[in-house]
Amino acid sequence: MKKCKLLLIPAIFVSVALGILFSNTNGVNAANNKVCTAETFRDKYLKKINMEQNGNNIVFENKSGLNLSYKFIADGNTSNASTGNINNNSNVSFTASSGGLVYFYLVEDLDDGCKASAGTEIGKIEFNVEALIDNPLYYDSICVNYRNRWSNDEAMKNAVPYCYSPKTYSIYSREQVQEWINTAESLRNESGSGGSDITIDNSYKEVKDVTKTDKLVCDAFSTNNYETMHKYYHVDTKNDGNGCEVTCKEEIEVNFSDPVATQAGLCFQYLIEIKSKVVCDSNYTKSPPTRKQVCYPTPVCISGNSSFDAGGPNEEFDECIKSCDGGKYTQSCINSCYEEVYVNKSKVKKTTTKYTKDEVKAISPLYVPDSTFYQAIKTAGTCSWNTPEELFNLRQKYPGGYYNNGNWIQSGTCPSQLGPYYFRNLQQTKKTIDMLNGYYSYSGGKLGYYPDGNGILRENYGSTYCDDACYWSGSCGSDTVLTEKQAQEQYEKDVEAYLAAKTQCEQKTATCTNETTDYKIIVNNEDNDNDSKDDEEIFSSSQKLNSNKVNGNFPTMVTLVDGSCEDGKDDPWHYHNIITFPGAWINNKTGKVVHSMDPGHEDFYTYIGNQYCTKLNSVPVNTAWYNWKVNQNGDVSVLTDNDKKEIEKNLEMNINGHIDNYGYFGWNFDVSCFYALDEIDPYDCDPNDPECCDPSDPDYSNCSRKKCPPTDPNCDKKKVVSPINDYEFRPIALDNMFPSDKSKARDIGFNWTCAATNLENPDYLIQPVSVMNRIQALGDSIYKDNRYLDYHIKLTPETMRKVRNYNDKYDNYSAPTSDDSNVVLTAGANKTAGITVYKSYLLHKVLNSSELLKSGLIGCNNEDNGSCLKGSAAIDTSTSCYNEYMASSAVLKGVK
Amino acid sequence: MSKGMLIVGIILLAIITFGVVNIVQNYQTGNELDYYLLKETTEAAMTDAVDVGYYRLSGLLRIDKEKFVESFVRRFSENVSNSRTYDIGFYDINETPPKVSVWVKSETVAAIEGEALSLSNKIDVILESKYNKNKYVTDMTRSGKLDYSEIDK
Repeated sequence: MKKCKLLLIPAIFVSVALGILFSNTNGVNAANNKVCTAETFRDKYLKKINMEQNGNNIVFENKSGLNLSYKFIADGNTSNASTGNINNNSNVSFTASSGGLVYFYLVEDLDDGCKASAGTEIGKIEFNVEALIDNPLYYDSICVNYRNRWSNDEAMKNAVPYCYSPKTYSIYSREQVQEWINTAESLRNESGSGGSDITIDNSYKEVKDVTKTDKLVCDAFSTNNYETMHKYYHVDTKNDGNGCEVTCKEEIEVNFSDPVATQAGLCFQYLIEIKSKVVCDSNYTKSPPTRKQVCYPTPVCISGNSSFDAGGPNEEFDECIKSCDGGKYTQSCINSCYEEVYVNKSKVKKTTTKYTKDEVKAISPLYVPDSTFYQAIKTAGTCSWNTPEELFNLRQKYPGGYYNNGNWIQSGTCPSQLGPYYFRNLQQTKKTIDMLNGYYSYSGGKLGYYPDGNGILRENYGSTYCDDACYWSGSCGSDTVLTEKQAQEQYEKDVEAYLAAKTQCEQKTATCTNETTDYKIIVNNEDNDNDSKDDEEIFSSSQKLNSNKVNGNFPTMVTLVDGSCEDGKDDPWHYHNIITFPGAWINNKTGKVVHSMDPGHEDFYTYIGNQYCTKLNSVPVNTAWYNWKVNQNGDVSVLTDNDKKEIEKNLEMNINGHIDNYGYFGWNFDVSCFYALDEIDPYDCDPNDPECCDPSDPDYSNCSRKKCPPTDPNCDKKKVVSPINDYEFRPIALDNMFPSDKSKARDIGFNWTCAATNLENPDYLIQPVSVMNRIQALGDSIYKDNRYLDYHIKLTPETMRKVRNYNDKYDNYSAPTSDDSNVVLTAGANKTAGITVYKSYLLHKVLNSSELLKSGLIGCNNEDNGSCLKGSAAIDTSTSCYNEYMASSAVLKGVK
Repeated sequence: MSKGMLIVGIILLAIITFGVVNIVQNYQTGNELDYYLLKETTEAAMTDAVDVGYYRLSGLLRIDKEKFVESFVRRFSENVSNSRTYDIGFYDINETPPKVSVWVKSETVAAIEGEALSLSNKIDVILESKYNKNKYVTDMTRSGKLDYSEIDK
């Protein structure tokens, strides 16, 4: 026995050691071979299989991270199950008329914290489409025709998705759908329109950069004065970044005068005409809005082999039903199982939900078991409803929350404890109310359902609530809404915003600008005073293009402001201007030209229009061209190509116009042209005139007035004498004004020749030949009586004293007539058009009637017995000069 | 005869001589009526009266008759004695082409039995271009391009 005791002790130690050893080994093995539970599959993988239901078409997207296989049983028909694989990140779609059940299985062994072998079921997802009803307009002509018209157009499909769904949650009237179609098609027709008005006229030249246009140079040999159009266009498209695209085309034409031949001291006009027409077309490029998709995540609560859209019945109840009627959920089995599972045995699992029934009632706007709570909601005055229809409409307008990572979050107007699924149509809304009130239950229970804080209903088991695994199946994209009404309201809002933006875009087709254009004309008029500083004259002005007002130093240089953008009146052109020299006035007394004068002094001046008057001592310029233009009558045929090149090579562009920032696009133009003048008859010197000689003349260097060939560098321009000063004072015998040398006929000065005849002004006829003939015919007889006495003045010593005092006061002939402008005599009514008439202050204000005994007719070239000779009295039409003048005039006026 | 009476006689004789000389001078043609003064005054006045403004418009030489008469009167008044009265007549003035006829008459201040002695001079003058042709002006005039009959109306 003692030996046995001795053996017992080591045996115990060995047993303990082995026990410990084996127990540790078993513990390790147990930990490494943990089998995946249904909850693990559900929470870790099944929740990541998204379901999207569109009518009776259901799409499953596998985001579980596992490659799976599936078995799909449609409409409870187990004999017609379909199987297949749905790999990770892939989709599979099913169609069922009333509902379906999809089982998912592992394709490969799983060892991810727990183990499972290939083929293991990870769970099932049940869906039902019983809430969907047939779309009554799907096969109606209104939707059929719409689908036929726009079958391949995704935007149009999204605009009226109702016509593309055979099943629907809501029913809309034909009129409502027609309105949707009208709106969609109207937007479709309007979008992308525009651009059709922009056409290109091939006679215009395209300019890419309006600030760098061609330098416009006048054609020296043009005979189309002011008819040479320089046409350009520019097209530009601007996008405001918000889909508004405005394309504008501006056609612009620039015309300008041909070169000008003139004479020192004479005036000429030079015109630059510019006009532009703008066409703009807007194009709103954004696509019309589409109707947002309605997203209805479905609540899925798994109970054993079944899933419901609310928590309950539990798995044990499910097993009870299965054993009772094979899972058919007959009412008798429901009743018996409810008694067995929930009432008699009280085997409900403890839920983790913390709500009490009263709490749920207090926070839920859906629960209406008694009138007290209902009345309280009404009294609150917010989000109240009286009928299931009102509740349905309320939740259509205000879903009361949003989904975030698979959770329902209450928010917004009328926050809701339940997800929109429970109000997706009127029928479901009624069912939800019944479930809340305990009138409907999947288990047959009478205690009703309550929101679980995640927007899902869970069944009340008395003191606890069903703790089935519930989740929202299907995730909503960012471009979805939760209800049909929201979709419609959002669509209407989007359409309104779209139309407003489109209208605003179309209003951007304004073709007028408020930019400022600067005009400038520069003339280089060289004179012989050896001071070049005063040679260049600059005339400038500026104009705001949205007005007809011209500012600057010489506003009168813009003679035409006629564009519709400028004066606001209808005009074929939006901008139309003529730029020339500013208005000029000639001082009647001094002949000085000014471009502005003091108000009230108009009668001291003769307005000659917009002209530039060259200086009296201007030196010849561009003489070769002048010779061709004047002496060769501007006949192009007399010039060879080399002649033309030679003339053009030496041209000095002394008229330069600049137009900056003109029109809609702000065009810049530079126009260059020239005037030319020369000595009178430089190649027709009188050989007997010692003051005019040719360079070939041996005595050329001694000549006081040298002929000035255009290319002769020895030409002494400073000797030029202006025609106004190139005359001779000559006492005459009245009966023989131009006595001839016996040996040679006398050359009469130009102003007494027939060539100086000017019959253009009927108020001031000039016919030197007739004057000469009349003077010689009258001879000294003019002194016989007072018939030809024009002025008669009696100078007494007293009168002379007055005159001398007047001279002392006004010792300069060009000095003002009087210090007081109010008493200054003006030509006034005695003005004769075309004549710079002067009326003497001395004669008419200083002298009295006994001193000025007779006064002549102001503005009259010649008078007879107190009457001005006019008409036939002034013109002798019998002379050959008259006939020659008329014939020559007719020819010249007929030639442009 | 005393010396005193002799001196008085000499003084009286001198006074009478001065008076006679003065009277005779008044009846004589003076420098102021000299033809050359008339010519120079007329030339200067015509030059003053040349109408630059009209030239700028027409290219033709014109004198303004009012300017001419005013200038003539002012210049003439400065250059003649104011002891006489002058009667100046301007006859048959033609502005374009320029031609004037001036007749100046003068009367003595002193008169014998109310009759003053009248003296006169006259001149007929034209301004004549030194050049014989001006094709530019001729052509421009006949083509109507120097027609300013409508301006400033």
